[in-house]
Amino acid sequence: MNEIIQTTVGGLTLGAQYALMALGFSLAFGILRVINFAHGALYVVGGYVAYFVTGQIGLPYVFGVMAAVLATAAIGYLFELFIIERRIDDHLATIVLTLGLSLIGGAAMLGLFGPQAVRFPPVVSGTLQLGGVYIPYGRILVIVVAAFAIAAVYLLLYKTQMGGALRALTDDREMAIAMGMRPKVLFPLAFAIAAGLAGLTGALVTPQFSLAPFVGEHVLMISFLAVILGGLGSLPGAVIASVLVGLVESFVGVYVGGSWAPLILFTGILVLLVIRPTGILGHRTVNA
Amino acid sequence: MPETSITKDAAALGSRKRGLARAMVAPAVAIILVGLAAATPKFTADPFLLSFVPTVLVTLLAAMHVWLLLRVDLLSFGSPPFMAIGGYTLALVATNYTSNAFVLVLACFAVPALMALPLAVVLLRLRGTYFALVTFVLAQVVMLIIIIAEGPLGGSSGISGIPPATVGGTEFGAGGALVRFSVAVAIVGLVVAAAVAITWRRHFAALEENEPLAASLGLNPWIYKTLAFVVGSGVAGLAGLILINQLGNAHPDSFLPLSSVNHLAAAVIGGASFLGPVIGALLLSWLVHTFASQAQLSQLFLGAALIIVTLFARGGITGVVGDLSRAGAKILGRTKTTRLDEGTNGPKGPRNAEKEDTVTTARERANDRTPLGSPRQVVETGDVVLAVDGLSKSFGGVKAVNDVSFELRRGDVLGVIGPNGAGKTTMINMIAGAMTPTAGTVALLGKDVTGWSSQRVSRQGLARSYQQTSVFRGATVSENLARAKSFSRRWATDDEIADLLRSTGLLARLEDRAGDLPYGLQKLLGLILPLAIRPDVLLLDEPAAGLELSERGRIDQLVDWTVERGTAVLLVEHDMDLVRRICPRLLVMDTGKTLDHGSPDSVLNNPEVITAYLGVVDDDDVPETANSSQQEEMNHG
Amino acid sequence: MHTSQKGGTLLLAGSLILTLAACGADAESESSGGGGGSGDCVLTLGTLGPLTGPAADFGLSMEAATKFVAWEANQNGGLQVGDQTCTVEVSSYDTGYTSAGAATGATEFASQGIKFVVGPLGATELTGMKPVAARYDMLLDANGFGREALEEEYPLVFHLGPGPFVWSGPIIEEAKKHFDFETAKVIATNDESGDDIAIINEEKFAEAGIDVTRETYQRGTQDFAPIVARLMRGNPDVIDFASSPAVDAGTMMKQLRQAGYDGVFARLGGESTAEILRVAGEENVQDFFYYAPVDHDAEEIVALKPDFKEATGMEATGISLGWIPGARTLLESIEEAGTIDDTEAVAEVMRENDLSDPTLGQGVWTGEEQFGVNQEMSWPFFMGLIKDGAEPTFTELSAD
Repeated sequence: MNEIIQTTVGGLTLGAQYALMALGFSLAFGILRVINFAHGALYVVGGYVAYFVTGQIGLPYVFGVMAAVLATAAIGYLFELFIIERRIDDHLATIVLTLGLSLIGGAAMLGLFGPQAVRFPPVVSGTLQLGGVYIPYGRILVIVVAAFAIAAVYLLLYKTQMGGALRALTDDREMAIAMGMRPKVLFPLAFAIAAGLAGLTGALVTPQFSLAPFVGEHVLMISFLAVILGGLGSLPGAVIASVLVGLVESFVGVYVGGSWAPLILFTGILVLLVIRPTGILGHRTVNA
Repeated sequence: MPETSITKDAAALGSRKRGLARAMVAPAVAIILVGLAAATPKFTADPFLLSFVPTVLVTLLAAMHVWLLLRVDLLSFGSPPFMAIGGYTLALVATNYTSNAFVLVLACFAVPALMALPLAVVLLRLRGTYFALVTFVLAQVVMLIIIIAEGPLGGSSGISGIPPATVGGTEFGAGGALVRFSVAVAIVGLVVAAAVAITWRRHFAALEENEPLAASLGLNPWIYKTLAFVVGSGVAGLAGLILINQLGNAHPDSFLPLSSVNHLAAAVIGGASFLGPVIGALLLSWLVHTFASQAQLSQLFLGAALIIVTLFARGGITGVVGDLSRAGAKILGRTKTTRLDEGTNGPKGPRNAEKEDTVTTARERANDRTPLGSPRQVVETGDVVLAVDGLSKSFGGVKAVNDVSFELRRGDVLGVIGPNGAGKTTMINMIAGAMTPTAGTVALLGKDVTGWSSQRVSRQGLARSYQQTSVFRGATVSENLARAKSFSRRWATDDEIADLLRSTGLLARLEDRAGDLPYGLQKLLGLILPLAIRPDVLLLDEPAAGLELSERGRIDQLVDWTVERGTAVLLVEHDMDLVRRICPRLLVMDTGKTLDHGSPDSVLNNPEVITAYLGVVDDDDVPETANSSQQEEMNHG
Repeated sequence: MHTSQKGGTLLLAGSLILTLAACGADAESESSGGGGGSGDCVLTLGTLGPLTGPAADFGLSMEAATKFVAWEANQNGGLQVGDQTCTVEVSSYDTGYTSAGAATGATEFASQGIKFVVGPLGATELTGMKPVAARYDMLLDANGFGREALEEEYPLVFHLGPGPFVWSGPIIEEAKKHFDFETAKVIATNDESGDDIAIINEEKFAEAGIDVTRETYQRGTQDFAPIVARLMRGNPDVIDFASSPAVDAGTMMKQLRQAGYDGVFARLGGESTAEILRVAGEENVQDFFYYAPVDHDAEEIVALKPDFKEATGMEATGISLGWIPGARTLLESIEEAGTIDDTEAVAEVMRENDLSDPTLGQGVWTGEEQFGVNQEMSWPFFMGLIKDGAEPTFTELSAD
């Protein structure tokens, strides 16, 4: 019984981390209809910026995290404004553009920091023991930040004017423009938030795991899974799907082992796409 | 009339042959270039160069996979899994059955292609963005399956000691023999890809440029996407064959999912010409080799190149070269000959005269037929061809169309009017198959077509035009027609087409790019295309919008033309003069509901109708500016 | 018509070119052994392995070991090959730890006329490289322990150090003297480099009378919580990380202790103790035994280290030190055979070498039992032992 509780707790912890990872990706698609292939690279850049500020410069971790968020948000803003915006209506072109960004980002990190994992020790160590169940404090920190981030994004989108404008632009761009909203101002901002979320996740999570130029691939895969499973364009869907993915990984990992967890997940996704292409909570789309 | 049918037919035939020959140039050059590589062993025995050739060929075929799918507007990260299927097929067949080269080539194409077929059924139902993501996931899945399957596929250790391909006594495992075999396999792949790309070039081009338009003219996107996917997977399988034959062992590490990014880069940077993958593969292989010890540099270059090409050079390297050579040819004064020039007194004279001719003819015609302002008589003309019953569409809580019903008979012209936002376009979209109704039925020639896709409805005998211009803007006028002809079920006669073109003034501009035409002509071309497929029902969505008042008479002619041939026409319009001229019956819509139905006189004097239109009863509707609407084109459906 | 003329020309040109390609003999290769004529002679040793990426430590260590022996030979006045004095140079290639990478590296070396290679590294690489190397009569002094690493069909392939088949068993037996254990779990990545060593370890544990199960995990996993939970089921006495990447092993170690595991850790795989300790945190290690190619406190090793630093610019790691004797033997054999081109002759001489090394002592030939081919050079190895978190001690063991 204890084991089941531990496994569930592990799964939820993992799910929260994945939710934070997938949030930025889902936001980019939900608002801009852009599949951001650079999401994993931005995660890595966030990690390295935090590493540099904390490890090399020597400032406290909080500054490292802030620097990571600002750096990735800036990259996102500029990239959207000057590059993505020119091809915003062409879905394939935006994929290729973000792919280009991901290659450049990865190359930069590879060139600056080398191919091997760097030492980025977690600031918070120690484990919380709650009656036979253990959770490292570092994980708790990630869960707390994830919860805050999700809440913040929700509030932004549904309770602020800017959020309303963003949602209007997504639903009917022409109409929104006619009503005075300015996508050229709002879209870069939205992408900056999405990128900043990726950077935040990197800064928080890489100390728990490892930081090297190639660790972004896994993050990208998880984001794909969460977003396909949860339905492209649905933020709550992405969160729920992330938690599900975490739980599946945890249970299959403990009770079956080996490489079955990813296989089950991927196959499940393919099956789901046959039965319900819009995912768990996705929007039904026009036939075009 | 200066044109005779014979001249026109011969000219049309000549253009088709020219088009075909033109389409074959790039593939021929590509195949020859690859064939040249087979001569490498004659000039050098350097082991590195001899192994570099097969490596480039592998990248070439993998890039070709991506290229084929880009031609149908799909982005595929599926090159590694299908290469793996091909490579492992080689491993299993060569180890257990035979290493005969012909059998191997056949198997390594067929097995991936056959496996792609059921996948196509699943994946191609999805939108393009899903497709890209899922092929990315697919690459991982195939790797996992290979590793977990252990036994038969060698698991994580792979299958080693694979005998090389043989023909008779010759083994193709090393040195010059390996190069020749690899070249031969690559040529097979290129020939197959070329055959598909050339045979269906119009379908692919139409799909890539404007899928909704193509579907509305009768093209079934699913068939051609599946074709591209299946053939592309076979081609990738051949890439796997070359690779594993060279290595002698099949291992999961040789098919890393991320290599798809390289293949994609090669295809995109190379460009849309058939030569694109060749250029791209050469570039990529050179890059990877040169910067092997500084991977970050080649990665940086690739990333930058992808961005630059996507922003500034859509056609890739081959596109840039093509543009430059076209510009160069223009400078040298060697312009393309138009068919009208052959045998007549030079370009300027007859063409200008002809233009004037058509304008005068149009006016004469307009004046001859029915005087402006007097309504056409209502004539009970025939069977019901379109029956709409209780049609409704809700978006969330909003009812865009609410319980609309009417009938159209052969020869009818029904005008649908109403203020903006009344749901007129939505209604057309539902009937034409671009949107699924929430409730109600649509019957075409007695057959229930409710919820059918636009290409299915089109094939059943319905055509539509669009509010904004909807033509294939990158293609010439004659090419636009050729495309529509190649995928529609019915087609007007050459004479009829010539008549339509002449009366709209397009006959003089057959070799001009549709996108370069003035807005009015584009609009008219966009009306001719659905007319030319000889529908039983024609839905026109604001055909006069954007046309100068003087041009609007052509709408009358076009409608007359098609009504004469038994078509029933539904016409959504704001231009009341036009509506009064050609519509014996009107349907008024407001906020999704039918407000009134009857003759123009009665309807337009209905106080409710006037109220609905309060303040907006004006003949001089300002046409939408070309820029914004042209950008939106078909994306809203 | 103009177009069919164009088409015809293309077709004609094409067929001409293709006929040209098909006719005539292939060019002959003129490879040299890396130097010719009298006077100056240069022997270029090839070395290849993963120089970037997750396994870069191993690759770089192999490169460093090769560079060291080359430096050493040059310090001693070069190699006396026949009546020439040859300087030794090293050419490296980054394989990315893949089969295709190793095969490409082999062709690169062949182009450069290199006949003697220290490497490759890893079972996959060896499998990929063997056929290509054989085509060019290259001699491989390799480190890859797949099931068919050494085969009769490939007489020019040697192992420059012992594999787990040789050292796993003795270490387990030795460890039993210090710790009481009856059950064990072996965990490694679910791919070739993981399986090859883990499977052997599993066998050896069983042979020693231990109740053992083997677990695998997906390479690239970041969160080890499920794996850790799975490992703790049944509370095994020993958890052996086999050849798992050092970072993974260290992370698992840390998380196992956090979860309350108090058993013994083992690392019967490529030595990366320093890295593992760094990632795990020293307080989490406690009881740990591992395969160590050398005893870092031994006199000879200590004396060697500064030279190594000078020669290669890198700190000597256990792995790189462990490979030095095998590389030295290769150079010795070249010298003795009197040729830098005839790899067969060198191989013959090498098989007769008595494997007596100034730094590591007396080695033995192994490989017969595991592969059927006795071409594996095994020098004495060590079990590193950390008990109750104290400083590591080393016990010398030998293959016989």
